[in-house]
Amino acid sequence: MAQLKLENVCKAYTGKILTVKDVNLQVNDGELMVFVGPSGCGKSTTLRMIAGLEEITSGKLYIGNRVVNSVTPKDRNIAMVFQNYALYPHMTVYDNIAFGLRSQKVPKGEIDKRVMEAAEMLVLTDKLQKKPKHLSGGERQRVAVGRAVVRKPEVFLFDEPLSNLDATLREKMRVQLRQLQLKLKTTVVYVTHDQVEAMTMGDRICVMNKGVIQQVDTPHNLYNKPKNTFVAKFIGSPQANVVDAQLVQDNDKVLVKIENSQFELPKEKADKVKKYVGKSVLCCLRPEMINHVVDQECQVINKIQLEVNVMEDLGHERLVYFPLTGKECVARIGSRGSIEIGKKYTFCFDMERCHIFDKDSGENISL
Amino acid sequence: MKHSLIKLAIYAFLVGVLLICIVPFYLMIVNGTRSAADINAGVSFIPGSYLVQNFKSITSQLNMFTGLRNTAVVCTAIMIVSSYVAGLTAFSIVFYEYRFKKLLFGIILASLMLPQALGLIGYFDLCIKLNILDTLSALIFAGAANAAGVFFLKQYTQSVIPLALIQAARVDGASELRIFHRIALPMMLPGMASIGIFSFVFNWNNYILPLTIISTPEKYTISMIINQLNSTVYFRDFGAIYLGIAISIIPILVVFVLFSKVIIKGIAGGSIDK
Repeated sequence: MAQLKLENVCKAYTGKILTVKDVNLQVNDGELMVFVGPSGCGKSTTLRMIAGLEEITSGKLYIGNRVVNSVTPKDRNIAMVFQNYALYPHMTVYDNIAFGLRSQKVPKGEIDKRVMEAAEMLVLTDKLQKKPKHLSGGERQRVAVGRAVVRKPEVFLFDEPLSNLDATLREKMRVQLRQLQLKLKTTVVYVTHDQVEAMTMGDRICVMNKGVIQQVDTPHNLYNKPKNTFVAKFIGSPQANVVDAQLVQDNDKVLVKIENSQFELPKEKADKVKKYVGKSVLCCLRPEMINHVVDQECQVINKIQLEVNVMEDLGHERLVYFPLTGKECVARIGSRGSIEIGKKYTFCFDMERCHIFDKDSGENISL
Repeated sequence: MKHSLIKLAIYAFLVGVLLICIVPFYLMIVNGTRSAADINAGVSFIPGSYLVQNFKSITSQLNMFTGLRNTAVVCTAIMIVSSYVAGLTAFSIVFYEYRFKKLLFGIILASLMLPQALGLIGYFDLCIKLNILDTLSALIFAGAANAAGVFFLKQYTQSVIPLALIQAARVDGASELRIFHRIALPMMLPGMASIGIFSFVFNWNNYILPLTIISTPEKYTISMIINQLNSTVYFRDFGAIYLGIAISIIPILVVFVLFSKVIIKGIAGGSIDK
């Protein structure tokens, strides 16, 4: 296995429009790094540059200690699983899996051994003589994985391999892929647009937007310490609430003013945002940070009256939607207490876990 | 009722078109069994009794079977070489980026607009320089470059082979030639077979090029042999001519019958959008 390093990597197509801008990233040996972002953010382009299927306009790519910018895909010792699997339709499953080994002139006996090992691992032993058109989506996906696994590459690349599967199969395959990666201890770069997939699979996640890396961190940190509004809104479901606010000073306290209500920031956060007092900022609250105050006698600070527009009852919890600063926001609340559409209820904000962002740059100023 | 009438009208029209296509062939075969006098007397749909005489007439005057053999050799070679070369060219146009690619493809397409006769003198001169004049190789080389085949296969390849397949093969470690032979070619086969068959038929009937290049009677193609029957000034043995033409098209009919499924699959496959 090998480390992967991108150093100031850029990609420009005709017209000099940068699709990928100055990517600096290191994927550690044996790590599963997920590239996530909206469509067109440059994640697949970056993956394809690692594979050698796209030329790197500027910057350096290292696999292990080698600079591989000019190295052809077949000499990079990588394996790739494509979004639509790219199985050779006229070949059997056995021949599909063996193709790469035959191309590298591996002895026949060794090919047979490796193919059978991969087939057993991926439960394909009874499918080896079938052609791709006779397989289900999940089986085709396993054949694509098998084709990559047999080559024992330094780095595995996955380009949205689960996006063509139905939701149930996707969940099942996610777990299987992760188990396989942990078993093989391989360095993996995994591209997806699904943030749930990213959060559940990655050791670390690289969030991209418009060709630029927004943040590279563990799933936990991305969720709890987003560097900017894009990361805060992209990671987490339902989406985080990001509303207009103002910071006001009240003696030694810093208050966040949202509409006509004021919310006290804890001291640690207040110290970090002091220089923004008097300015307009953005306040981010995840849905679970907005709590429904059921017992009106209970003394809580940081409370606000909000009118509920829509409610989704999921059984174990409820999602309630309400307008705030002209935006539709959502709170995740428990199943206690009745909620009626069109009525106002008291909610309190967990300001310990909120984030404050600079309104112009979108950067988190409360970390 | 209205639906049945429309259906009947469509069938009647199709039968009419079928008859228009088939009747000339039938009459040609029938006339091959009649004498020249009978043919001059008028049209008949009933076979005559001059088959053996006409056959003796052809075989005594001409070397029909040598002509058939030469043409079969040339056309089979052209079929294989032209479809392979067109396939390779189309593959490069679809899956590779290189300078002047568009210009090259434009030149290939532009050559479609030039009639064969225009290039004859230049090709004749080239054959002399290459010392291949009066050889079957000269006919094969001329037929091997198939611009229409390149155009058709480019469209076909784009529709049946996704780029991801080629990229997967590259990542798998295959060389570019291996990718063509092991991945692309098997998938392009129906299209290449269609091109090959059409090349076969076109070159089977080709007369002007063999006439220009070939001078040795033992190397004559079937079209040249048939035309010898026509060259008698005083008497034209029409029965023998018709029989000769009928014999000359039998191989083409066999090819069409045997490969009709391949032709249809090749044409239809090119129309499927992936």
